Amino acid sequence: MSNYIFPGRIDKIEIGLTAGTNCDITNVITMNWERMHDVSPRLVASAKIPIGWNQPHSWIVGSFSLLSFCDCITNADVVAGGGMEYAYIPGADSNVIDFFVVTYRDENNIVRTTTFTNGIIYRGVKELLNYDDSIWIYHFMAYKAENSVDHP
Amino acid sequence: MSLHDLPFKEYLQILQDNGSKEDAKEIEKLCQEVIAELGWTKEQLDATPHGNILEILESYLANLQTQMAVAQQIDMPSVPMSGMWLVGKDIPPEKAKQVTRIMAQKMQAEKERLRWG
Repeated sequence: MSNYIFPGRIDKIEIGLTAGTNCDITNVITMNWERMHDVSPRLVASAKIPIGWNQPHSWIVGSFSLLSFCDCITNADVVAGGGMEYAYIPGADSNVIDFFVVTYRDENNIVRTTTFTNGIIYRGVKELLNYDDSIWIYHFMAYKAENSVDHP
Repeated sequence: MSLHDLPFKEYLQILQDNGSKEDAKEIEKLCQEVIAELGWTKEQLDATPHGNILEILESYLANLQTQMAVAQQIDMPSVPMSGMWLVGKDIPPEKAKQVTRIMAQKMQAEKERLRWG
């Protein structure tokens, strides 16, 4: 995956258990990701088990920003089986997300998706843009990002 | 009447009559843009002293340069952007530009932080 900037827009980010059981995040401002090499697992402080520990240290690294706080990230179950296990718990370990997909349009308004395998949201911050406005930023990592259509 | 006070139409005629047809064409073309921008009529332009028109042209060009400089600052984050970048569907362009710039800086810092070493 090299440099792609799509003029199309994000419809939603979904996190949850499966394609049928998930939570939609629709107030997305921007999202970006890329594969990065030589990543140090020691620094993924929120990861319960550092994702891809026994993989080559090459992961998808990305972030997304939201207009306002979204319950899905801290309240939706993202691990099949067991009790409620959330994607991101401030001050505690995050969980590896079973279903993590972004849906967007390409420049011809055709719907595309990218699925993040073993995604983990490891850091969230609220950032002030100015005294009247703020955004929520979440950083994530994943084993891989699979596109529904191969990008040129 | 000094040259400065000459109506613009007459000034253009003098330019053309004295062999500066290229200059006259250039100025006329630029003025068409200015009147479109200011919402003037052709008659207003023709009747206005050419010295005033030159002042308007200078100010118009200066504004244009400022606008371009500002647009460049907004559109070009100072850090390299790589990978996939997407914007949410209901986000106004100005907001998207502002946040993209911040996110590009954040990601640059994040990549440095995660780098093995």
